[in-house]
Amino acid sequence: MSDTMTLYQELADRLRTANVAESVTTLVLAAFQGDNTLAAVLRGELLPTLPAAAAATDDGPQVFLESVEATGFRGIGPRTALRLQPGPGLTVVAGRNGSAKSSLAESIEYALTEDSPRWAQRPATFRDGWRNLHHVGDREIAVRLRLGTGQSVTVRRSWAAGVTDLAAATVSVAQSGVTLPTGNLPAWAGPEDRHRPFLSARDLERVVTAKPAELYDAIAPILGLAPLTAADARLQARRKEHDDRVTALKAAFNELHSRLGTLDDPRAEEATRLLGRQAGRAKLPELAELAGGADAGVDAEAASAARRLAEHGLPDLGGTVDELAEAEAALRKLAGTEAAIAYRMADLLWGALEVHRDLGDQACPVCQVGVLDTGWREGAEEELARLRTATEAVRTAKGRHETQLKRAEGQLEDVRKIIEPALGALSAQLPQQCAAVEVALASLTLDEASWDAFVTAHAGLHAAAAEWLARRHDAWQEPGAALRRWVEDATVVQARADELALLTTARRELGTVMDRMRADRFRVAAEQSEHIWQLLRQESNVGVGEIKLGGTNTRRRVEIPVSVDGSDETSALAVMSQGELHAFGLALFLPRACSEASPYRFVVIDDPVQSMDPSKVDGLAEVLREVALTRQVVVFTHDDRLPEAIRRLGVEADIREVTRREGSIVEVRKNLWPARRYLEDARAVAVAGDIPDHSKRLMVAGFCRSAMEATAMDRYRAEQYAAGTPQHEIDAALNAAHSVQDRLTLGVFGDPGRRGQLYGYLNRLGVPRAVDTVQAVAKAVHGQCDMATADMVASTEALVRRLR
Amino acid sequence: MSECLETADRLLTSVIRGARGAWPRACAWLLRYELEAAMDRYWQRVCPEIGQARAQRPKLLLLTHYASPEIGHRTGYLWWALSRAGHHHCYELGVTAAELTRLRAELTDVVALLDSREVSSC
Repeated sequence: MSDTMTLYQELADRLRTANVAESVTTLVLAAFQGDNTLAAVLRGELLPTLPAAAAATDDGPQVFLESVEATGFRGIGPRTALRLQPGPGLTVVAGRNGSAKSSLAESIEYALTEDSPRWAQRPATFRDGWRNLHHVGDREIAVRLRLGTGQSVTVRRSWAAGVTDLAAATVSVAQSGVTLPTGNLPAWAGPEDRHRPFLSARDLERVVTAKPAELYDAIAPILGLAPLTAADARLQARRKEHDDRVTALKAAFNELHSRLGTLDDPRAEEATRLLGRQAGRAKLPELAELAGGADAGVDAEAASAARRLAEHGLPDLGGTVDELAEAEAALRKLAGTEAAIAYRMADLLWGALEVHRDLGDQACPVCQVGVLDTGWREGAEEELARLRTATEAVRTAKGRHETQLKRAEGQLEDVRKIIEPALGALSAQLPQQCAAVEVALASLTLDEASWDAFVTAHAGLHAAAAEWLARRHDAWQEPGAALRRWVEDATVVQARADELALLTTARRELGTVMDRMRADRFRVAAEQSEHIWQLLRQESNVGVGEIKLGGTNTRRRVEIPVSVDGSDETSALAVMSQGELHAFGLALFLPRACSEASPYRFVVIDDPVQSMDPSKVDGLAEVLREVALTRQVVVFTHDDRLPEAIRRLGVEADIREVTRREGSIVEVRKNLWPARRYLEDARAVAVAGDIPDHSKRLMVAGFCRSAMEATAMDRYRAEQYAAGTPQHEIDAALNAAHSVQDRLTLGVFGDPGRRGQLYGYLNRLGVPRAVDTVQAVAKAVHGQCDMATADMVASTEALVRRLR
Repeated sequence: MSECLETADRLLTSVIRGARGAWPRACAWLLRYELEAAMDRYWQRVCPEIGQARAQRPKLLLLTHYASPEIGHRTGYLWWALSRAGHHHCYELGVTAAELTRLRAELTDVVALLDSREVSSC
């Protein structure tokens, strides 16, 4: 947990040092904290401050391997244990192929990780072979770990008799004797398992077989930058949302264009023009109006004219014309009647009264006979009042006619006002109907016939306009909706363009910081790798430069610059031999297993020697010695080359030998100096009570002879090494020496040609019966023995001690 | 079964107290001794002069001629395999139980062949 906090702090510091904009820094840190925080910050909320790191709580446990016990697992039948010193140091477990040494290695690996790359890539039948067929009953593997604190942790996986599924194991974990309830491994052994403390030949081969990205993935996790990668993934996910939206918008843009292109509609033309050639530059407000509006486009005027035509009915001019005609008729009817005459008479009297009022009494201006005077006036006024009353009907009829006429003329004007603009607007869309109305309008007067003709023409236009309007509406319904949707999407994209830009910048800045942190952190491991390669390369002409983690995403890879005989090469793997590749794999993976951040203070290496040539084995011994100064190194190996190099070079190591008898009985024994081991066996057999004498003599002689041979050969090898003799020449000389005398000659003189001087030399050593003993062991293995077994052992021991 | 074979079989399946795990070599010596004894018995019957020789190689090579090419090859291969297993070699660890079991089965066959081989003219 505190690792993550440290990383967070470092990230924040580096971003600030690099003068990254505050908003970008905030976004990167939010992405580090998690998806929810990122979403919140994008919504505009503040970046929550993380609780301050619980000041370097613990440095994590230091885990050593104390023992592994296996029963009925793989090559192991009855319970077999490998007990180790739980602390730094080198342990070599040697065993022939088939001796079950790898089964021990796998037991450790499987108990702790429930997996083994050795199996993961093999067919199921291989995996099924986990059950040892010599064993019946319960099966179990148990690995005991010792923590730096002194606590012990035992991980036990057991299977009841008859269980065939490897994964069906019962897991129990005990810490200092107390079983943990969940059966899970302690947290430090977490599932991510990035510091896998196991190196098998398969791991080493990954250098050759893995794709560049796989190699990267195998190495990168030790750097502990996974939270940064996760943050980057979160930013990328957000960015992708935006990108997807932009991409979709562009696709819709093109689709819209082609759809509008097929429409014969002025609005489509208009929309095409407003959309333009680039989605990002479309005129959104105008498009929004166009999309929603029936009142948009070049025929908008026509449309509104048509709509007005529909909304405004014609004034009832027909009724007015009727009423006018009636008023006219009523007036005409009253014209010849008494009332009409009286009406005119009243007017005459009213005129005379007006004259009398203005001029006073005088002669009548009409008849010139009578006199207009006060007497007359009284009678005349009475008469006028009577006449007025009598002619009221005529007056009313007149007034009505006038009103109607005025009204009709007004209405006619209205009709023109309504119709004329509509004709202008719609003549393009509805030419026929407009022409008809125009004609009718031209001949429209205040009579019923012309009105009826007009009304018919108008009704035709009215219906046609309504139909045209409806068609126009329907035709735009879908394209308009599509356009509206696009405008909405485009509006969102436009509104969030800043966010996209911010995300892009955030990713770029995070990437830059990540690259730098990766390079800085990897440099330590890379330097170790280069150092290990220097030790391992020995006589190799392949040099390795600075190893780097390069590329990102799908192009991530481990960059391994190599040179052959000093000149640069492009591919490391192409120029290396199998042995070199193994050595290089070790150089690459050992720092991973031994990284300081790993809780595991042990590393298990399965068969690193493989196809290494002898000089590389010397380098390997040196590498292991160095690593073992601070780490517990457990190496499994299938031959004696590594133990030989360790003995010869004086590397401090605990060497064990694994053998397997019939029925998968596996024994693990300390491997002392070979000569001492042979002598111990000789002594053990010599005192064993239940071996027949003849066999006993044979065996004791054999062990004594082997002790002499081993001593002589180790001595020869050591001296020749010191003299600089090439490995293969040493091996050839040793292989050519068959008898014990030949080998002693090599060991003593370093020269097979001096065989004749051997016995003389042995006699001068001061070891009693030295020559007799040599001759006795040589003969005895073929059945002829003339020396007591006890004497033979004692004498051989003395001789071996002198020769060493 | 001879004493050496019995001892060899015991080594294959059980532990000698105090021994340090070099039993596969001891087992090989015992088996090789058994083979040499069978050869000696054969030569004693067929041609005692050859049997007197101390070196094993001529005895092996002549088997091809005297007994049969098959017996000669099989005996030769077995003897060399057991010799190799019994000697201390640089870098090589002791042979495995499986390998010894196979060699032991072969030994039984070869010994039977040698013992049943009729004496032809010397």
